[in-house]
Amino acid sequence: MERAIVLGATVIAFGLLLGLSALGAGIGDGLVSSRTVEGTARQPEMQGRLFILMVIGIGFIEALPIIGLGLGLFLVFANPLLAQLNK
Amino acid sequence: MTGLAWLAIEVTHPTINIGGIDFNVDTIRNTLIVCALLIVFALILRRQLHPGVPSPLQNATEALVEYIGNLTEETLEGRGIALAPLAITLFTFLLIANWLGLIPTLKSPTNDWNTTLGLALMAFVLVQFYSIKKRGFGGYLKHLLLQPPFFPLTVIDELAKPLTLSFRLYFNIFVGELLLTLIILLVPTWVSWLPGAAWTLFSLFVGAVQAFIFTVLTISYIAVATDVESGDA
Repeated sequence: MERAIVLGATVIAFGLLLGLSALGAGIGDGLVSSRTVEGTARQPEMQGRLFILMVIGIGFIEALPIIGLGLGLFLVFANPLLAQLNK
Repeated sequence: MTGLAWLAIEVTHPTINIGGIDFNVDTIRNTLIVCALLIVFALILRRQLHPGVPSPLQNATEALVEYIGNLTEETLEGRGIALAPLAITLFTFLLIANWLGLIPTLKSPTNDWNTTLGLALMAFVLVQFYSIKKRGFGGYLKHLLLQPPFFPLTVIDELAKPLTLSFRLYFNIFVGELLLTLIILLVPTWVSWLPGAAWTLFSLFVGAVQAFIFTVLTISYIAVATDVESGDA
């Protein structure tokens, strides 16, 4: 019974972790891309530098949900809470 | 359940124990493969080096070296020439390392937290070294300790840098390869090449971007540490 509760809570935590971080990162990606498009429309000659800056920014933002996914997979496959329960 | 068990095996590394320390065999092997690839590439490049008419290979390498060299120079404001070789080596190593995992049966060396944490600790030591070199040891201690309300924050800030640097690279590559495995596991075989190919292309992009970000961040951390005049960051 306790095992089932821990497993269920872990899966819910995984879903929340992944969903919320993906939500935030999606908004962030959208902001970065839209500002890049605006900047390019204003100064088309800056497109090359703006694109590199955008890629770096998106690389930073994308790392957050991926770190979340990695920690979540760690929670699911090597559950430290279950190990606590078995003690 | 068999699929899940297989996936759990996929995320662990085979280890051998020498003198009480576990060594991840596959990571060491793949790191050596990356080093060998880079050395062979450099030897081939040296053989066809030509001052007048550069070959396409030489052209591409010169463009890369020049781009990262200029970037280092700009970030460090004229003091960058000493660190340009470090930046170029980091970038080429990480680029090949991130792409190596996309070849079936091979795994990226950066698929292991030990590799990325090692590289990030190298960056951390370099940052402290250049900070001490710039300020002197007394100035370094003063910078670290003599900001009473902010002392814990300064230390946490310094320690968080290698941690986030290593996590960013490690999880990007690790999750990328894991999702490739998941696609093969979950999608029926006759159609799995389509999402597989799409994700592999995206992983190529992510690998290049993360290698670049790691390099740029290492350089800019050093730039922040050696920049005394404008803001005591």
